[in-house]
Amino acid sequence: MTRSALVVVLMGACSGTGSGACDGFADRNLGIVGTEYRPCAKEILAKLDALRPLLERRVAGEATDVTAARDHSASLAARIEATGIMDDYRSMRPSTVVVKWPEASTRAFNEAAFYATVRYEAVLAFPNDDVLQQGIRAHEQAKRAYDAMR
Amino acid sequence: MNRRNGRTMRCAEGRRGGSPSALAFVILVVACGGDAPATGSRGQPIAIGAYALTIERVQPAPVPGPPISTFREQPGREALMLTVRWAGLEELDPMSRLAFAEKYLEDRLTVVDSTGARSVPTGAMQSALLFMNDPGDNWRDWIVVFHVPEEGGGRVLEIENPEPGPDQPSRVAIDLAR
Repeated sequence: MTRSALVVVLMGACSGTGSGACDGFADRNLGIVGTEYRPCAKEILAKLDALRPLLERRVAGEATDVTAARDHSASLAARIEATGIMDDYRSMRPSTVVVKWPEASTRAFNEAAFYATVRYEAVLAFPNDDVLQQGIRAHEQAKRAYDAMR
Repeated sequence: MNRRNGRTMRCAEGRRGGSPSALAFVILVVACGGDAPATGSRGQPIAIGAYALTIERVQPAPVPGPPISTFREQPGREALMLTVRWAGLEELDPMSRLAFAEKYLEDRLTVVDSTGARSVPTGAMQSALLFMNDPGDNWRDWIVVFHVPEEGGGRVLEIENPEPGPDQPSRVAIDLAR
């Protein structure tokens, strides 16, 4: 491995935006159950939890660590991307979502977590309390769906 | 494409005029051929991940059928009805179980005839609905209706496994004539 390649690999490993427990789900196509998905869902929730207070301060006009918020947001987006749910919902095949995510609780988590992520990203770009509240509601729904996963 | 009207496709449809380049030919071969499916038979459970699907019977759809649009006659097409049985879905909640069973059957089963025509299901439903009965909690027994070209013989049912586990084929073909 050349020195430059090593540097790239190390930068990727240290950037904090890796997808961790969510790796591999984008390549799955059948029967992902809550027991195997919970570690990934937990990481997604942790990133949402970390992002929320920073956004609340930003919307309130208080000083906040925007760099940290951007890092959490990028890390969250990487995890959502790694689940493949965006592609699943864009799929033209009617069975894709139901066959890949057969449990109602995992589907509910994915929908809520994705919605919350999009709203939080929007607030990060353009602070807005209405959008933040929409994100918080979806975030809370994602927590409830996570609790319902077996 | 209209699934409910018994969509039928041929593999080389739309390839007209000019000689295809080698690349296009390779793409066509990959898209149309791929790996040959494993051979299955009626009554033999087909493993699909942690689940299993058994094709139990194949018969003409009843005429007249129940008052369900799936059974509506289609000119030039013959209505085939498969009786199938699911296993292994116990862990899913009741609604998810039904959604999985229905969507899988409607989207992953294809009948191919000797001319290469491929027909996708017109619909799938719990088998009790054939007699307009309440399926109750029976999520296992289903029927799948296809409207296939009348002139086509040598019909084979192909079942796709989107994520084959160890020792599971990605496609299984069952000769419907046997």
